[in-house]
Amino acid sequence: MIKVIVLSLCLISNLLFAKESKKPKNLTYDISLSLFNSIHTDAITLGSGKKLVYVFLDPLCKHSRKFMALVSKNPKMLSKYQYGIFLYTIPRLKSTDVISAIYMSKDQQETLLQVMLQGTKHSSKGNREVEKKVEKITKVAEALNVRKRPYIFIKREQ
Amino acid sequence: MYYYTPDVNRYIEFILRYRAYIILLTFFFTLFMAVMFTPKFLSSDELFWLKDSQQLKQTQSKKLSTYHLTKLTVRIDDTVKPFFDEETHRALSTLHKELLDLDGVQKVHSLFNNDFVETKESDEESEMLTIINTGDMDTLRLQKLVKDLDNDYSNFVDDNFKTFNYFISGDKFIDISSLDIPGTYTYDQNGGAINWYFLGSFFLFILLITFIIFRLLFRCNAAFFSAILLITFTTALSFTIIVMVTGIETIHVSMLFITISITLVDFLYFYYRWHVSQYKVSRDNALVKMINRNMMPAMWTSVITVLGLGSLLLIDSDIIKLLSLSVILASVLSYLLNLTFLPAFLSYYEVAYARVPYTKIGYLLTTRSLHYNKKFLFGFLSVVYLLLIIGGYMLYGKSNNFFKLNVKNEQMELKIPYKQIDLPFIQSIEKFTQSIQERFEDEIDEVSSISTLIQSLNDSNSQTDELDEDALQQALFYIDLYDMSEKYFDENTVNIVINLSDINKVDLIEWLMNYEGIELYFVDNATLIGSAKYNKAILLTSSILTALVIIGLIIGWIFQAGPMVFLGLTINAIPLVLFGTIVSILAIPLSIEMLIAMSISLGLASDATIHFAFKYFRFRYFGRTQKQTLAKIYFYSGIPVIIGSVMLIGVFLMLYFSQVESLRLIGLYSAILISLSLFTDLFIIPVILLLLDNSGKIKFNRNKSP
Repeated sequence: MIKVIVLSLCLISNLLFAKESKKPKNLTYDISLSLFNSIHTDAITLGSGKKLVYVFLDPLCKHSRKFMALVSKNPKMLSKYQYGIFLYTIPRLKSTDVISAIYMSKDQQETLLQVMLQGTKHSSKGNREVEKKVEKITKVAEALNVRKRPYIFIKREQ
Repeated sequence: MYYYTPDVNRYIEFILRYRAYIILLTFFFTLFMAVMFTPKFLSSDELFWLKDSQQLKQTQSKKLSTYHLTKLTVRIDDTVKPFFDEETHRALSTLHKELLDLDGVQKVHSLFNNDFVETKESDEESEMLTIINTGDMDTLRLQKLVKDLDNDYSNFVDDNFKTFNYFISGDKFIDISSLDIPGTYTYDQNGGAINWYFLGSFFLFILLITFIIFRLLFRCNAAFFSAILLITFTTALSFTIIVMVTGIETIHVSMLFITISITLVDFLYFYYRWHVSQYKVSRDNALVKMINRNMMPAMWTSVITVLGLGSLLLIDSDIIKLLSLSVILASVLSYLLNLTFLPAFLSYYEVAYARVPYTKIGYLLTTRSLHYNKKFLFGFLSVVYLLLIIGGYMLYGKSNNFFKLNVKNEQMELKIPYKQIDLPFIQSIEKFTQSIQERFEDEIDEVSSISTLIQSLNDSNSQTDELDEDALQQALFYIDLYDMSEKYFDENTVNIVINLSDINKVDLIEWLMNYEGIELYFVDNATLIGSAKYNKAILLTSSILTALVIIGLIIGWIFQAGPMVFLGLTINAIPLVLFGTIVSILAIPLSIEMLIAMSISLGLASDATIHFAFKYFRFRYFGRTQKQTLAKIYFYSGIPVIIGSVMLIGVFLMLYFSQVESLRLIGLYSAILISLSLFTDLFIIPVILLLLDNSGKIKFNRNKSP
């Protein structure tokens, strides 16, 4: 009987004092922007618009592919926005070699579009330089708490 | 004055000498005017209201284009289950696309083109905010979506998926006759054009009925032909003169009935006197009697009409000008033609059977009126004046809720100018949306705007929390990504679409016009017309009240008796007050047809007041008893009023069964108002005259006897 009472009390106290798991707090705009600035040169650029949009995506992720399709096939989206694209792998998709291949290629934008829109297969183990780039991007993504792909960040107009 | 009998013998001789010339001159002058100043007729009142719309001027000053918003309602065959299968879905979806492709169509809102922001809160690392268009969904998913959302799309589809609404915005009325529409449908695609074939056939039918009635009543052809010619000349001349004087070329087809009604009744006073006078006197003497007994009261009716409604011509409103001029010209021209054309024309005829049936009704009414119940009379008049005060309070009070415009499953669109779509702007629209939803609750459904879209995009965006500047930028980015900008905003304005569930639109328009949080503009013609009517309601009613007061004062002046002001005001007000009560209780929307019917009623009531009172004063002056006087009034004025009113009620009731909406309305309203006028003429005027006579408040000079 005592056991039942103790267990019940524990259960009630658990329910009463349980806290909702908080959604990780986003960084402020300025900190986020400074992080993006730090990897700006590593971005694959697409479009020629005035508004700068940073995007994290995985070339094998279906939603990232849909995003790229919507952007690259729409002239308005290419003329209004400029995209700084960072490749950031989703572990379960095992896209590290594909990302390396894109970064290793001469025309990164072209290869990225081939992979994502046409399904062309590219794979490479990469090199030290690519590894460093991927590492840098991963660090920023982790600092920004990027959990979903595609992830977008829009730079405010001055 | 009433005791004066003009000597018209020489005038009649003149008429008889030149009768052929007079007839020909009238005919050719009317023809000349009709050719020179031909009016155009419309059956839609849209143009008339929009011309006077302040809201339209404001909308145009912002260079915003306006459009027609029409509703196509499709009902699918519900005898075969399931009603909404793949095939029906495809047909209805195709209909949406076909409507969009039609010439003049700008936008179509239906169940098959709605953006739905998919909420996907998952733990997966691959996720993207997705907007799905309901047009791309399969049948089952679409049905599930509507059910899951507790039918937020009730404006587009009913709960059973049997009735579908398509809201079509276009720069003109859209002709959908070329489309293959599944099931049955309703759609107003007339646009105000008149089906002259139908209208012509209808008029021929009415002419036939009129001919039969005149034959049965008067047993001669003179009545029918003289009536038709007189009405034709008066009507043609009235509207050609309107075109000539005002430059307003477009006339509402129902305005024809103002001149037809007033002329018919005015004609009957003259014709009836000529007809019955042949019972004892010669043909030529009948003409003399017709003129000298009617020229004075008929002249005063014209004076009353000119002075009572003339002041309204100064108001800067085409509708008021057209209505006033129609009544004034009908009254004046019919008077002139009754004095010139009618004796000239009738001089060719001789009546073999000068008696008129049903004259015993006059004696019956005389007996009834002599034994009137004072309590009933005072009770009735008190109720009328109480209703008048309540009506005035409803109209001039804080909120104008006299006229209503109840609509169900409709849409309205607003435009809001902007310089930049930023957070404060979105928040101002959000506040507006909350305010309107709090105020109208179930009366409105979804309010669709860029604000609601941004909110739902932000709610579904796992990357953002509450709506801040960055979240707004993301939402705007997704709007661009899914190419939805055009639907919600253009370079200078954003759109707000309000889905109306079941609401008095006048309330909504009043609320919108007084809302101060944002600068908003009406762009669909239906709402612009609604706002014009709301703005004009007070002016129109004030105009009618002013006319009533002026008519009352003139009647008092004509009979040189203060209490006659009360008589004039009351008699003219009774039909309008009773009709206004019916309008307010049944929530009948304000329309030009209603105003036309009221103008007809005002014209007829003022005519009857003068003719009845004139004869009452005259016979009492010449020493007749009250009983003899009443019998004479009913015989010489009551019977023509009964014949004219019953004929008009019959014609207007026939119009109610016509296919043209405008004619249906004018038919119904006029039939009600003329019935009320007839009731007032027969039962109230004589009784009030007796009351004033008995109270000694009116004098008949030397020969008065009780």
